[in-house]
Amino acid sequence: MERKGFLEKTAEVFDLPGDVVAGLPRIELTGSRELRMENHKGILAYGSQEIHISGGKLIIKVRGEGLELKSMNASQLLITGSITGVDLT
Amino acid sequence: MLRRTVNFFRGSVRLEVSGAFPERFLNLCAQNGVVFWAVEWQDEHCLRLTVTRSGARRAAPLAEKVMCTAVPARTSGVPFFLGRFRRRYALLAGLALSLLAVCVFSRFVLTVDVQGNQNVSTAEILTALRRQGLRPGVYGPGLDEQQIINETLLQLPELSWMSVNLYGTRAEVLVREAVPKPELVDETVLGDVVAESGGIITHMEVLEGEAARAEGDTVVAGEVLISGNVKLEGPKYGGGVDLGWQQVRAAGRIWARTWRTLTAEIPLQVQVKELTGEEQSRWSLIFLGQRLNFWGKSGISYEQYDKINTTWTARLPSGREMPLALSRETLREYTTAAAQVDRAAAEQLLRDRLAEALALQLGDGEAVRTDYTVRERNGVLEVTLLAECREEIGRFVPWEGVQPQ
Repeated sequence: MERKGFLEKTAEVFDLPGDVVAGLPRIELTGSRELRMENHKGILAYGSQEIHISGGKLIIKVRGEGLELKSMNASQLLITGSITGVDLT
Repeated sequence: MLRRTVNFFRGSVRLEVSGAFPERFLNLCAQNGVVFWAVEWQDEHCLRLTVTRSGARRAAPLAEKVMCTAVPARTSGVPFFLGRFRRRYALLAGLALSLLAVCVFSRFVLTVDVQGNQNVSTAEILTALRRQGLRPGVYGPGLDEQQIINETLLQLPELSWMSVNLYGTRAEVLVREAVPKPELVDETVLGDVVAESGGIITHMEVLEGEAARAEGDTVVAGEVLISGNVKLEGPKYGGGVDLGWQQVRAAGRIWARTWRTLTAEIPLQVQVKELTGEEQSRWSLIFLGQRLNFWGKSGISYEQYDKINTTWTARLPSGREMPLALSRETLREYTTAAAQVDRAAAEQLLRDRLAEALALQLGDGEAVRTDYTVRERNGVLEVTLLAECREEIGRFVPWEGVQPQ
């Protein structure tokens, strides 16, 4: 945790991309139908109305209707459906 | 679309994962590089997802790690389709034999196609090629095309050029026919033109030599019409001394009225066949020129019989004949019995035959008048044709014992 915090600060100070340097999650939302996430740490909960994804320190909650985990590998995942909100906790 | 096609050929498995925390199974798959897609949540403890064929094998141990069970619900794709035939040994053996047959039989000549011949018959060329080893069923790569061409051209002097091309199972033989050599008259051979048959000369065209007869003369067969001995007369006021004789090859055309008599006869009572109704069929299979008989060594019990052969040859949709044929040989027993011939029909038959024979004998000549006489003697009908003709009767006959100049 200490080390990651240091990497995050370093990326911020040197104006470097945090997802590359510190492995921070990167979320890309295309309209309201597709959400692509990199550097995730796994699915925590799954449902057609809500999907919880671990992002390390963060938990990303994707809300919507008819959500579907279209594809997933060790670092990336793709969620499709009618996305109504994304919460970070 | 491309991904679907790839998955179709690669094969995919629909897994049903059930357990306390199925999402952990997803995370584990993602971490271990097991590709999955189409995740469908059934309920809180059950989900379905699709993985590749190789991924399905790795998914079961992963599911056990997170206390889940992964059961294949459905399989699809080419590998699973082909996998159904894994234990069908006869089918696999048939497939292997088919492939072997395609590989092996494609090396053999199945059809020989002759093109470019007009006067020389295809059968004649095929027979000559068969003697040289080119026939249906022969091993293609073992053929020496140049040797075959050389030997066949020697056997068939009517052909001037030949090419043999092998296209898989088809041997294409292209030929060109030789231009016939014109008949040359040997001018060194001397002789006379004599009458081939007797008659009255109506017209003479003397091209070489000295006319021995004049128009209106009556000649008999063998009589000299144009002599090859030409008398060279001296000059008119030279004292009557001739210059001697010159021997030439007599030539010319002599037309004459001739009379020909032709006779033909036919018995009015003949033996005709009467089928007894008994018949026997014998089948055989002809493959690559080899005949396989199905009747064994059984003999023929009929004393007199007709043999009728019918052959059905296998053809491709394009009409090309294949070296596979089924042949039926039908033997029909008959007996002979005496029957009376219709006199009028027999007479007409003889008249027609005589007219044909006369036309053949006359060649370029023509029959001016014909007269038929019919008589019956000892059960035989005899028809005689007396024809007055106009024909060329001159025929060159070389002198015997004279050396060519």
